[in-house]
Amino acid sequence: MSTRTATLAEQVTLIELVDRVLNKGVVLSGDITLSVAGVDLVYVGLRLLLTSVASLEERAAGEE
Amino acid sequence: MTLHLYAVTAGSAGPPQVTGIAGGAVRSVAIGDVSAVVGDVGEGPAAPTEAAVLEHARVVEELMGTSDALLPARFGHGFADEGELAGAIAARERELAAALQQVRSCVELGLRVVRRDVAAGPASDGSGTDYMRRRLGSVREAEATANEVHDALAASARASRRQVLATPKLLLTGAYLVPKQDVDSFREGVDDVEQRHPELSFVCTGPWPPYSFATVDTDASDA
Repeated sequence: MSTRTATLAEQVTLIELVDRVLNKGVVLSGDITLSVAGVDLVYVGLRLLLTSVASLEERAAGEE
Repeated sequence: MTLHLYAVTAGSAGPPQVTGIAGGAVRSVAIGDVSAVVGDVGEGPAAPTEAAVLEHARVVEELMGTSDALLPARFGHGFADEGELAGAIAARERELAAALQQVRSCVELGLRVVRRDVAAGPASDGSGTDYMRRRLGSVREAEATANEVHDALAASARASRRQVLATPKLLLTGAYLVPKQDVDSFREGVDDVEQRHPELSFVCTGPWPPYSFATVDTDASDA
């Protein structure tokens, strides 16, 4: 349980971090130029993480 | 060379003792009442690879250790030179000063509240109208719960942001700007609210640099 919880916490922390760096923070000019393909690549990894977090949540809830 | 912006800080900071993306140098450029922390990243804006995103976050995190008022920059600013950078900062001087004033001595705490009790699909009985009515009622009930949780925590924060029901399971995504010395008591407040809601899972993250409170180009109301 403790190992799984640590992993879940790490995954959530990573998602929170990347979400902040890419979607929050000060924007000084209108022409903030992210390569869309590059962002998609980062988000593909995130979606995998989110999926695994969601399934962990469900498993945890099912065990109660 | 392109200048990558990491953060804007109050006053004229000394040279940052950090290494930037791909091992590049990081320097502080004083512009009016603020300083821009930048680094050279080669030709064109830094590519948003996972490694670069994490390095940007690390630099901002390290800067938090030496600066009392800091606005993290959203990843992806590429300035041709210091002149262009200075122009962009000068154009938003007042908004930046106000945002720096608000975040001074504060960190951000993140919160995700997940519903354990979301039905997998529509019930088989009843008409479509009944189903829609029940569904609408359950959404309203969920929104009321999300707002109650958020308001209870926002009361002890200097500022806050909320997003309700980003997905059917994700009831609340919150961000709270909290003075550094109040982080522990804020977390205790989260524990209190969590105990009142056994049907919900709470994940509190942080302390973060104040990313969610660094937006100066839109109004400051709750999203």
